[in-house]
Amino acid sequence: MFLLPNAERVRRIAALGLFLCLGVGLAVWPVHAVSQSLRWLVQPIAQLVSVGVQSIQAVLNPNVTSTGGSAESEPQISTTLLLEVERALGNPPAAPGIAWLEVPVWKVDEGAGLLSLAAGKDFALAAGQAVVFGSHWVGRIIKVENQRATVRLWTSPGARTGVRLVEKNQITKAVTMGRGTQKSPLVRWIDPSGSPHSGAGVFWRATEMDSPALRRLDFSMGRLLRQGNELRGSGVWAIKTEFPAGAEGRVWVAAGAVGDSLVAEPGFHTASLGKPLHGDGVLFGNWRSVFQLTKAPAKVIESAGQLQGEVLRQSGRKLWFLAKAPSAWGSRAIALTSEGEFHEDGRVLFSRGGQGIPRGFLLGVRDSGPPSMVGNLRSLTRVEEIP
Amino acid sequence: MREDTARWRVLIPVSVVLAWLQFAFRNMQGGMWLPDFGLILLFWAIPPQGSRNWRFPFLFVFWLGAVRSGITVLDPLYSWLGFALALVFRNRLFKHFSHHSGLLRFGMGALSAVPPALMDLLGSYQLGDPLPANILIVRCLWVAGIWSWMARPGKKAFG
Repeated sequence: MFLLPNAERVRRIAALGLFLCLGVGLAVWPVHAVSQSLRWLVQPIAQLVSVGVQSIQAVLNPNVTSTGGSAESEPQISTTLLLEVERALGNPPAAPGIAWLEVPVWKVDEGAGLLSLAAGKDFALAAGQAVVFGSHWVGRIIKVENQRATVRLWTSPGARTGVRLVEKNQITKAVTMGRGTQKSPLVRWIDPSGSPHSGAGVFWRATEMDSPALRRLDFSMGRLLRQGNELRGSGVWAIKTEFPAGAEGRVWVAAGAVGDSLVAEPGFHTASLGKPLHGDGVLFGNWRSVFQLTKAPAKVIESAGQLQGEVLRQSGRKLWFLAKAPSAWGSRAIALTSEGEFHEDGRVLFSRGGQGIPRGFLLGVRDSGPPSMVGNLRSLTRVEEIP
Repeated sequence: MREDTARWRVLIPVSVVLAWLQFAFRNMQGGMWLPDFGLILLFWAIPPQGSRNWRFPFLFVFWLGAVRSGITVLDPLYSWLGFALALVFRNRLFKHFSHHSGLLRFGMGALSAVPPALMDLLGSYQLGDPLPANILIVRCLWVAGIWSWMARPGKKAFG
């Protein structure tokens, strides 16, 4: 093809411009598959360089990369405190003819009012089973897969639940309708024979499908209150409810028949890690990089029950994570007091769960710094997170 | 071709050693203010008026980005874009400003260092740990100072 020198120059500039624009577009709106491919492309060179860095750092700062120290300044906190609290608060009252299956929650979808459980047919769960947390009604299982089940919360938009409005002198039947976690559920129907008052206790009402043993139990749902403007005729009965904080972690499912175990433990893929390397060649922060001894997907780094950080990059066996101070986890942490009570300003922080982070791992004491890499590090990924 | 081989023989080991040094210095006290050693090497190895062929700068930018990804969590894409845009900026500025004035050379170096700084900022922002602006500005000023010294008239660039 014949091109004038000027045309040739313009063609080259246009090609370079297009190439750079495409690159900038990918940088601003990253595509996971492209990023993965590019990292895979440079992996041999990058690995060679990072092995050299590791060796140099080991010579220059032998203490920084050691993992055998001890965190003497950290007060001793039980790494299973959240689990213990959830079990203490969430275990429902025993009833003959009912076995309570303890099932961890994998994911909470607040918008849709759904809980995804980390167990399914493998744990003998079935659609329609009642789900509770302690003496609180949570909802019912609506869908069961092999290793997963979905619970529809009674507060989820459009969910209708039969309730009893309990006062000193009378019990009135009613039906509620959920409006999502942000709005109070409304009472849509009240038995015409009753005349409830504000402050009445709202309790779950069994259906014909529920076992007789379950019908005898009381599960609280909140308190009745009047909302809206009575003068304008827009007053409605609503329910003041509070979702139990522990139910984000585990719930109990009523079952008549059970499998081998009453507790469904979440499955993890784990891999041991080498010594972490502190720092980053470009960024400024508590970055750590570490090599996995075996190639496996990794979401978080853990050691001795304490979460060290979230894996933000994985390139083959190499992982990068940002060591965060416990308070830096923000809303992704759940706070407990030292006495083991859920409290917004509690000192002891645990991972809340969700977005790939498993729940219930100790993050540390609120005012402490980033975790010190004590003990043997390992990477974890919940089985449900692996596609 | 023979010229390129000679360059690579020098540039490959130098770039790897500089990457190691950059990691070591960066994690020392005050190290976060230092400039990117790879960018300095790139400016030294490729003349501002442009290389005789496009293959060498293209491959060298690719190589530097790959080496850099061994010392940072940032995706190589950000390094490649930063280096490539720095070269384009410097080339365009070189055509319009005299390199006989130290001040203009300084300004040219500073402006050329802006795209890589922006790319680092973008990459770090997407990782949830954005680089502070003052650190990026100081890094650009470092590059500007080094470039104004490196490109003073009478000195011949490596490329």
